[in-house]
Amino acid sequence: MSILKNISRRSFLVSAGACLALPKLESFAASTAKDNNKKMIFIGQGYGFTEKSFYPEKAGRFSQIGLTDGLSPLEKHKNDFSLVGNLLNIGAGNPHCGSLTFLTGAAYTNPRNVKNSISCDQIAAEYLGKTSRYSSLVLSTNETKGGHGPALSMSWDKGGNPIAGINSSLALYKKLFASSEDKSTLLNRIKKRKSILDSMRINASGVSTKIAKTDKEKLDEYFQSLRQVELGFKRQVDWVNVAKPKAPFDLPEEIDGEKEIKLMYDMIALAIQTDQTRVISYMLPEQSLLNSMDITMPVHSISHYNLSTERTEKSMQRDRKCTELFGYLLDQLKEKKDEQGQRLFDSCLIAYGTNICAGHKIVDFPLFLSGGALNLRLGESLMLSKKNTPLANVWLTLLQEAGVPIEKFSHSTGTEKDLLA
Amino acid sequence: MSWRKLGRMIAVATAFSLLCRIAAKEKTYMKDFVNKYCIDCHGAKKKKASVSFAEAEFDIQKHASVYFWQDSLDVLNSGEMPPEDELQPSSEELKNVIGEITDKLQFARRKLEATGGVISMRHLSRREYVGSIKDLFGSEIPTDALPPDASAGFDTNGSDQFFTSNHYESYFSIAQQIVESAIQNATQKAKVTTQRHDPEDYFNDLKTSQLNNLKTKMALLQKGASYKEAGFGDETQAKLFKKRYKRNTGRLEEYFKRPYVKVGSSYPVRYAQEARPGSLYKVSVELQSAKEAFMPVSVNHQEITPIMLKARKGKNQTYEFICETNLFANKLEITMKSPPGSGYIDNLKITGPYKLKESFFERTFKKVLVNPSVTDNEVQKALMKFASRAFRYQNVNQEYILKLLEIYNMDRKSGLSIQQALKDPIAAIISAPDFLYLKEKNDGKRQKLTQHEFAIRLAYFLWSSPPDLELYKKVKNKTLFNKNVLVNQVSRMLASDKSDAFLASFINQWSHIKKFDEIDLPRQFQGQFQDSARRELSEFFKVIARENLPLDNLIDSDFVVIDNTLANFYKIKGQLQGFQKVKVPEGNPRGGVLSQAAFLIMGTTAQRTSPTLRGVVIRERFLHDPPPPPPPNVPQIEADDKNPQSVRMQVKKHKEVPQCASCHEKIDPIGFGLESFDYLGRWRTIEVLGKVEEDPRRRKKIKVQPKKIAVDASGFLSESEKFNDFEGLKKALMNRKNSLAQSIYESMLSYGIGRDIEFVDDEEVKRVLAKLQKDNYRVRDMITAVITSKIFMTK
Repeated sequence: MSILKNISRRSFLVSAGACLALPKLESFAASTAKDNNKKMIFIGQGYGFTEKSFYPEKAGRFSQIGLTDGLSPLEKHKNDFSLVGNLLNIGAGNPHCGSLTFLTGAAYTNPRNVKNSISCDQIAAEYLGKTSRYSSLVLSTNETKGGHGPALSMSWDKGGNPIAGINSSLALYKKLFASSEDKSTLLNRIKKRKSILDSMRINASGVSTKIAKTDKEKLDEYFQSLRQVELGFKRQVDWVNVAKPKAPFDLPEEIDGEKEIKLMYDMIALAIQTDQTRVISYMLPEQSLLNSMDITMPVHSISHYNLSTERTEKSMQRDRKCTELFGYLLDQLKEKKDEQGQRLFDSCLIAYGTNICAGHKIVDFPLFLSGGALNLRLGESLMLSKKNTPLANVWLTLLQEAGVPIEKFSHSTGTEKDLLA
Repeated sequence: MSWRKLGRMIAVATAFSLLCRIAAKEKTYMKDFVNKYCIDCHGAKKKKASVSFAEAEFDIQKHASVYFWQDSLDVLNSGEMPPEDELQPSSEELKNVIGEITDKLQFARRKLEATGGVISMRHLSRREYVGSIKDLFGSEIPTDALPPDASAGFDTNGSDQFFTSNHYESYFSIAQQIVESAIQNATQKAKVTTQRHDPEDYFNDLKTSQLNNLKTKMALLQKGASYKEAGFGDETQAKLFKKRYKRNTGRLEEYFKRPYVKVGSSYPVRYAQEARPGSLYKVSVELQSAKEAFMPVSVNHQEITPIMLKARKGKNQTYEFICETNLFANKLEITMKSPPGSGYIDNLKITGPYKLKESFFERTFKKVLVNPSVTDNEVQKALMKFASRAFRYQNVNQEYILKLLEIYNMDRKSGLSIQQALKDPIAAIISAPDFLYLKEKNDGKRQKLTQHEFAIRLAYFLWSSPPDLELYKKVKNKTLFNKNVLVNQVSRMLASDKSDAFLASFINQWSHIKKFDEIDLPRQFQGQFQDSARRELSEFFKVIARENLPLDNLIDSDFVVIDNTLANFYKIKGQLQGFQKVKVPEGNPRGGVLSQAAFLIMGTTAQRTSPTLRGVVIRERFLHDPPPPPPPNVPQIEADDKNPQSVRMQVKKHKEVPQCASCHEKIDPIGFGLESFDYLGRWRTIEVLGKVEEDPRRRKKIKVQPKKIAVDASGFLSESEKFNDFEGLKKALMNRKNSLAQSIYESMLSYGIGRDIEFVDDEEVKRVLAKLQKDNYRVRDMITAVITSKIFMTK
């Protein structure tokens, strides 16, 4: 939409206070992370669903109130997920901003601060991701029309900068499975890359003495990126003795929307099974999914399904496909076992949702919670007791339950005990 | 007061009508609305939910007020307030008050977001990176290899940019790839060969095997083989095969009867071979054509100037052209349409690779790269020389070069050759901050650029590349700020092909033509038409700028700049070579941007026209008055699709919901003026109701009870600016050309300096526009005015 012109990735927003709540995780993490086997998966949908046929009318256990048309593909998982209602994401001020603030909750109304803030998956990554090869995997799509707004992925770093995602199953495949480089070549390469990093530091420090304050911020951002690259090298060195797993399948050559999502879900489960990471975010492709269902209408048009019965039918068809795919992910996590023979599902938290309820409506949006990692109430349409409960409260609750020692996240006003069994 | 001064003031007043309109809106609804519907519960005494309008600021200036009114607007939009059991406002009242709060909030935000004109340090955009690489290496790389530009506005906007570890990694690996290609070209002699391609070979083989296949199957069936043995899925398939056998073999035999079948092919040619990156190839085409025609040619998916065929019946003709591979291209792919009628292509001969003109990189490193006893000192000197130019002669840190030398020696010690060991140090130079970032010194206050900094800003503005030697010379002589010297330099730079980069990328970004790429066109409009339509706007703007024509040509013009594909689409006769300026025939609706195919297609949604999208673009771009984004949580519009409805009727549903109407009433009626063009930009007088779905991937059409009605293209810009048809819309926009001038001028300035235009700039912008107005806003004058403006010279 043309309207997006007004909201560049940055000139969007937010409260500087949002990242202050981060304690010094590094030192804390080292001592307590050992016994923590919890994994967190965050999936962002983009456009919302068909209001009348998707959302349960009331609260209650699905086994009693039944599943709506849109939720019907989740029949076999109906005791293993909850759909949380009565939510408000303070950060989502405009339906066309899509997923920009879904995991950050950064507020849009402050016109002066033009930054997003750290997303909850990245906070989780700092803590839970200490002991795995990748602190987190950020998965995304190249599509620009999926209702996610001008976001690169669901994830944002400490500085409120967007984190570019791994945008295809092929790229993820390469990242997860073994390559041919031997140990000494790898170590040599990293040593040289470190020297090159040093040269960049020298080069950049020549700039910093003569420039204005705003430019210093730009330069800080540059130094930050160097630091990140360096940390990446360090991790590679730490893991040099552990071989990556061999790929259990070949990638198919032609992948359409639905197959692509399934393949990503397969690999999400594999990445967790091989303990390559414990935190994953995934921004779903939307248009290609529709196309693979033989619907050529733009997904944005489908999201305004009220304009014709034909659109409404297609929108409902899309709803069912989305939940079917979500069910597919749950299947994978239930089928695969970890080293202790436990189902992956039992040590995972899966959060799946979007800022948009339906059309332009951005309150009462859907959030699915599933998995056995946290002591969650599952199997019900769960209306939180207060209308417009901040989404940030849910993220805070989940993070705390996963053992992340924070007191506040973004605009949280407290935790939501209702979510817990 | 002199008359001149008075004239200027009037001009200023009209150019800034927008700001004034909002700032001093005559009628205000907010106070009355609040007093009537809100104050009883949310007043000084009764502060329900601790919200009180008692001390509300009705002209919205402060931050706190923005929050307060945004919250109020949200509950009005969602219908939460006033509560159901209280007095309800009429639709009209609700619409008016929502419209006013929305406008005022938008205005307040713009004001509060202002930075006072601070320009953030920025890194090169994709196209600037490519231009800078070409300056050093003499060859380009494809832009899509680079990380995407961040800004949703102009790609030069520094405050919208960000830099992450992903950027670092991408820039470094791209740099390695560039240097590897460049070192190979500089050190390994290319073996020039000629490869001949006879297009008939492929087709003859294909048709022969198809014919043999048919014959074998038939023979099997005749021998009494079962359908399975003959390779069919079932009996019916075999039956059909027999029935169609004669026709199918007949067609193939017909093919082999063509007189030239052994010599050439009348099918379009697609030929690819391995190629050397960053090199030249000579292509020679031998063909026959009995007609005069233009033959489109593409090299590596990019269209080049078409070949102008002569009419030579029965005689071979030969045409030659030169093409270039970029630094990442390891193949050369040539596609061309075949000559018309009985013509055919006999063969292609491709000769190469030839070396490009020696690049700065080669000049600097050629001795070092091939000298086995090269000293550290020589390497250091070469690195220094290269870095100086790469860093646009803005000082090179000695310590930095020594670090690069250390990396070089590290590689040498580990056994790498000189060429291998130089790769990473050079790659480090073209991914270093001094190369990637445009640096302008600043001590916190706005100040004039140095001549050196100005030359760099100027060069990236007009050329998307660094300054050339002549510009650097003017800097050295300190004459660039001399008005005559500067104006001459600007003319020189605009006359150069390098300024195509500016004219095209500016106008494309201004119009948001990216949205055109996102529309799925029906199959028959993909490919050639899509490319031509996308290029039209930039070709048109180049003509307007280079010929210094008035800006209002964007609204309406008596010429178009089109190629054969578009001429055909617009029903304009003539044979054109590439894009040419053509007079619009009497009675043809084309001319100006509004009737360009790409512009119209951008305003398409789900295979119908969207007056809303079209109206938004006109408000944003032509009227310089962007509408606010759609509010959240408004009630959805209910469908009634028992009867097929016209687009106009569908869009008018916005009127039924006051929350929608408050904005859409100022958007949709503008877009109605373009209803005379269908969703693909074809002229129409009749709209077909009911769904005609043209699936872009399949050729299936589903028609549901088509019903035809006459197109109604009447609408209005505002209540006092009504129009009856497309011509009327153009006239109305012509009366508002000052807004267009402001839109283009501010955009160009913003593109040039890398930040948004803010209130601090108003005074100077007004002054410049008033001056340009006297000569009806000529475009080249406007570009010169941008460059010589104080704002452009200031950091």
